[in-house]
Amino acid sequence: MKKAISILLAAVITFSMTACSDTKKTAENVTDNSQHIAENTNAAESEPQGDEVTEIDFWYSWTDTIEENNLNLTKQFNETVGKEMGIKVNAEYQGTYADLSQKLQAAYVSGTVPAVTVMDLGYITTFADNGVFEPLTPYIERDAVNMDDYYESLLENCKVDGTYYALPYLRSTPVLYLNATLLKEAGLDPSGPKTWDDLAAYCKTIKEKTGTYGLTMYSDEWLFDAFLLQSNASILNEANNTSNINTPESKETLRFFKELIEDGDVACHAGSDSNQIQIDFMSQNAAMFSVSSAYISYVIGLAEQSGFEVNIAPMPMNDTYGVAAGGCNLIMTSSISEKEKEAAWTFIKWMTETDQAAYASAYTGYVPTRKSAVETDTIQKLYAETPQFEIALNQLKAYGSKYPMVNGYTEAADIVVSVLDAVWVNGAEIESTTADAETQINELLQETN
Amino acid sequence: MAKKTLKKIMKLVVNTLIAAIFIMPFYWMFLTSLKTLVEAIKVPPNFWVTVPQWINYATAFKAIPFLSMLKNSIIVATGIMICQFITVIPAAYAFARFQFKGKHLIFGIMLATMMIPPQLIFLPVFLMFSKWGLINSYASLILPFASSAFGIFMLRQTFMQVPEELLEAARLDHASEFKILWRIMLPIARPTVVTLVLFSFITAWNDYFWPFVLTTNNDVRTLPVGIASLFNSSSGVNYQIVMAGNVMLVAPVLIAFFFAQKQIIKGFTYMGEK
Repeated sequence: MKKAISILLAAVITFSMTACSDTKKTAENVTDNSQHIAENTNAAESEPQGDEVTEIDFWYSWTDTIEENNLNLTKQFNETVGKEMGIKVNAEYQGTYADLSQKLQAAYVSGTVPAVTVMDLGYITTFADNGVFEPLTPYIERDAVNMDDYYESLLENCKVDGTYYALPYLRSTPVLYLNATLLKEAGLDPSGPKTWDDLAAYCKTIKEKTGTYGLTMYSDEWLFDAFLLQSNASILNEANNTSNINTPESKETLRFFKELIEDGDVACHAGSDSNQIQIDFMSQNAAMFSVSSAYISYVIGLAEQSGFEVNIAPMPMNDTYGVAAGGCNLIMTSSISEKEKEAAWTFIKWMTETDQAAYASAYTGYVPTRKSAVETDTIQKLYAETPQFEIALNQLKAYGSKYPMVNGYTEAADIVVSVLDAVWVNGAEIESTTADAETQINELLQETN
Repeated sequence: MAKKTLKKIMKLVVNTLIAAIFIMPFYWMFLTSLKTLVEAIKVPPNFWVTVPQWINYATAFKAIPFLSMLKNSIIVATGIMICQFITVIPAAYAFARFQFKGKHLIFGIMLATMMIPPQLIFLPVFLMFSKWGLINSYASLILPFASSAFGIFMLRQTFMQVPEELLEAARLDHASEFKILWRIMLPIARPTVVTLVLFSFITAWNDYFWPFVLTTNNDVRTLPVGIASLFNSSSGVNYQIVMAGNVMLVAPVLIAFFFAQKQIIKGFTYMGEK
């Protein structure tokens, strides 16, 4: 009896494994479609045939203001350009970025991909390398899209090996949020620390004078990357094939914050506890925290209710200034019909045009992706009313770096988070932890590239 | 006398303590749903609210397509319940009362299915449904749960305890197997059946994973998917709204449990008797 069950279980597991490897095979069968685009150029220029409407799906992540922004823009598209060209876009929610990318894998294998989707920067290279995404360079060249209008560091995250696979959509940089009321109480300049030394001094003074943490953070690879960029380093080397986690700059960064954490001046939560930093800040248990600029409206609103004043500051400098741009881009999938591709491209192009870029930025708090969008009344009005929004853009313009674009980076980022968890949260020793992580990341990058 | 009173008091204290442990999460959920966000994330927290924020319920209601998701939840949970009712009862009866070749093997296979987590099989099932064009349909949410190994096992145990004499008497009177099942077995097993129906309903009602991975739009998505989406708010979590959504999600289940609790307790006692 027991034997029968175990044999059966083994059979089930083997079956599911074969099912998985089947899916892989299908993934490899993707044909390169790029040559079709050139052939199809003429077809695209002709009018849509009859009254036939091309319906395409557009996947997005997150709810609340992002969802409203996506739905509003899609509706506007359908009522204007879409109506004219015979295109109807259905915007569909798919959970977090990670949820969306998993669902995209399943949809790809089963041949039910959406034509357009938002895509977190970390996944773009892997999908593009596996042929899931359609190269956009031919479309960009054909329609002579003015790429100079986009901020350079944002475009870096749209290319894989020199080919465009995406256009910038909802992008941001991390900024420093300050509880100005607490800072004043501690006798500090409420405009915030300018350098890391200032930051350490701020944290110590705040702890001494008010008893709360100076800074609260969690094991976040994006923030750590910013810290490294400020120290003239980065998580991966220039060629994206080895990790810098075991370099003196990295270890010095780890040590700098480790000491502050051990002295009780800085709070650090585990990577899985990311929501804790907002709670710390809002309950005035910490005077500073750093997250994406997309949180500006939310934080200002909450602070008003809680009765304290918020300031937003650029990230302080160590040897230099530096932040990596995060967020998502818009991409087109490859396994759809030519007609759907044209519709998808029309939609992506429209979504990233000046007016829409300005609308999305003002609605969500993400940075305007185009220089011309900053000139619009929408953005000028926003910056006049809430100047804090401009800080993220200024950081991006002055020293925004690209997010590492390499196969397997999301897994490498998980390893970095485990290092931060070990060193900052659980007090592990730095040397051996970073040495192990370096080996792991390097092996991973070798395997996946 | 004094000893008796002491015993009574002890019992009361222990009972209150156990009740408190179970009620606390529900109280906390309800309480948070009436707070402002500032109150909800305050440290140390308050255990009461001075000005209840009923508006949170309206906000949660408006943030997701609540009514259509509620409708989907009812259709899917009821569909699963009905399918299981149809498949579980005859299977349990057969396993309990008939001798046939390979009975133990089949029973073992069936039990083994309880050990396979949905995360392992969702991809092949997704591909299969996708081939049949069933993605974003009620069928894709109901069919995978059309039977229940747990239900068959539990009901089989109950059926096995029915005295053989009863069945033999019925057979002597030329009652059909269906009649025996319907008129004798089911009335005896009523508490177990009620428990199972409730269990399958609650499991289906609460399921988040399956309705989320097998759908790509809101057409047939159920309430838990909607409530979870409240948590994926773009600019920080509004805990009070998520909790208001949760209260609305669990309310029907709590009400159902309230009315059926006696049957459920009976069902479990019966299953344990030897």
